[in-house]
Amino acid sequence: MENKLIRDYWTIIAQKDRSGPEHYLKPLSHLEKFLAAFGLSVNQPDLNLVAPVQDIGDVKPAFKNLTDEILLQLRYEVYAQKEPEQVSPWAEKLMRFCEVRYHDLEKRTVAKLGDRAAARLHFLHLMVFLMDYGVFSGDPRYLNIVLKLERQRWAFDESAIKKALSSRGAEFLAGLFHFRLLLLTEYGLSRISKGPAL
Amino acid sequence: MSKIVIFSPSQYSLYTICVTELLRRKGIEIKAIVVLRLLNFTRFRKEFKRDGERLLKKIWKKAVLREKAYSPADYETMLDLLGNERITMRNVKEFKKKFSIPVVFCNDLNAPVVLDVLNETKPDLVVFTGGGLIRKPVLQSSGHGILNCHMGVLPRYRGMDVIEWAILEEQFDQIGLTVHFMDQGVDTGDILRIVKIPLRSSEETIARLRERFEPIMCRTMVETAVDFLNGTIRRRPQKAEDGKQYFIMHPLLKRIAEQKIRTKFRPSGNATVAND
Repeated sequence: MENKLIRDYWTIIAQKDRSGPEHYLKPLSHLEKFLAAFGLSVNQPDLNLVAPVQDIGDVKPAFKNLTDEILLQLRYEVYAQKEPEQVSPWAEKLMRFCEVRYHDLEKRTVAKLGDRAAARLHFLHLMVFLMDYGVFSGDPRYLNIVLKLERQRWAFDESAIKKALSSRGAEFLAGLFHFRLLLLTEYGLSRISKGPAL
Repeated sequence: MSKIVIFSPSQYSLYTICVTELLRRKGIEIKAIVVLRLLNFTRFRKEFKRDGERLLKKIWKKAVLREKAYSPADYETMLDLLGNERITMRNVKEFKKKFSIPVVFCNDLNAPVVLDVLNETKPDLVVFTGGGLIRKPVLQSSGHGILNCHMGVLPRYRGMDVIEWAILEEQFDQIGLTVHFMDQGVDTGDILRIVKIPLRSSEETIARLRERFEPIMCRTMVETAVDFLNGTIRRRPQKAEDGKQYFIMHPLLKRIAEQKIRTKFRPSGNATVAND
């Protein structure tokens, strides 16, 4: 696979220190396989692998109950291929929520987080989980919802990725999430063009 | 004589007209036709939220172009079906004039006026030809239930754009129609009949497929309703885990699905297969 934008963004990211505080939501965790598909490699050891965070067994899968800690735990289980019976109800519920409430997502996310910037990061993190679940489970419905969510300009703005990657703090983290989403959606589109699943 | 009520998405629905007339000719008593009003802001808002900009295309095709939306094809279209069956009506209201069948307009198929119609007519069955989700009170007042013909093979492909999804997932043998009872879930009610319809050639497009399916849907719905009322077919419950719910497909994926008809599909020459 070839994509000049992805290559350019990765060049910017690869030159940066990956142990900064912006990495607390692990935006680049478990990307080796997908980078490799574009002929890119990780030139620093990945210090930011997602690790178990909390037991979510008792939490009812619902957007209102979703936190960044739960998203990290779900992503950990996706990468480790653990507890699919725990992850899939969350993935299905969140995907349906995003489909059915598509036109109110901004309002609902800002109302839940109480702050626009935090809402944007949380929403990008949710998109990352949905996309990760899609490529790890092979289910193209998750690529479908992420492609739709990429039209939610309040959260995802492809034209501003370069600027975000040159920033610091939350803006930089948002840029890293954008990069991850771009990489995985391109990967997913390429896979589904060639075969029956992602 | 069996009694039924028809639910219709619009007074101009050719599908409603065909289904109603063919059922009437089979000796089924049509107690009423309940029609959703077209000029209805609540309906527009609800459907726009679900369908987005393609609702405008749908309105253009179904309410403005109507018959002009069909061009000659090498398969039977809805318009051909009307011609072949010598059905001249083009508006549901004509059933009232010609056959004194009550036609009741509403803004929502869950409205009290619909419940009133059902409670008065006490139908054996309701035949749904479109009009949105149906809630419990209406479901419970519909005799044996409400029949819907879903443009996909259940239980595997529930929800929206399931022709596109089956093609995208290269499940070319999972394209077809299912007549099933509606329940509170999305396409999760008991199944009466599945008709698998093979793609014919790599020349087909999704739009043409949908057009080709319309008259088959109509005939399948009528035959299945009659068979059910005669007691010759039985309901088969679905298990939730046997299928997935699909949603409207993103245009990029739709383009890939269209390409797959040309690049992945190999015609096998199968005839239409019907499974009860």
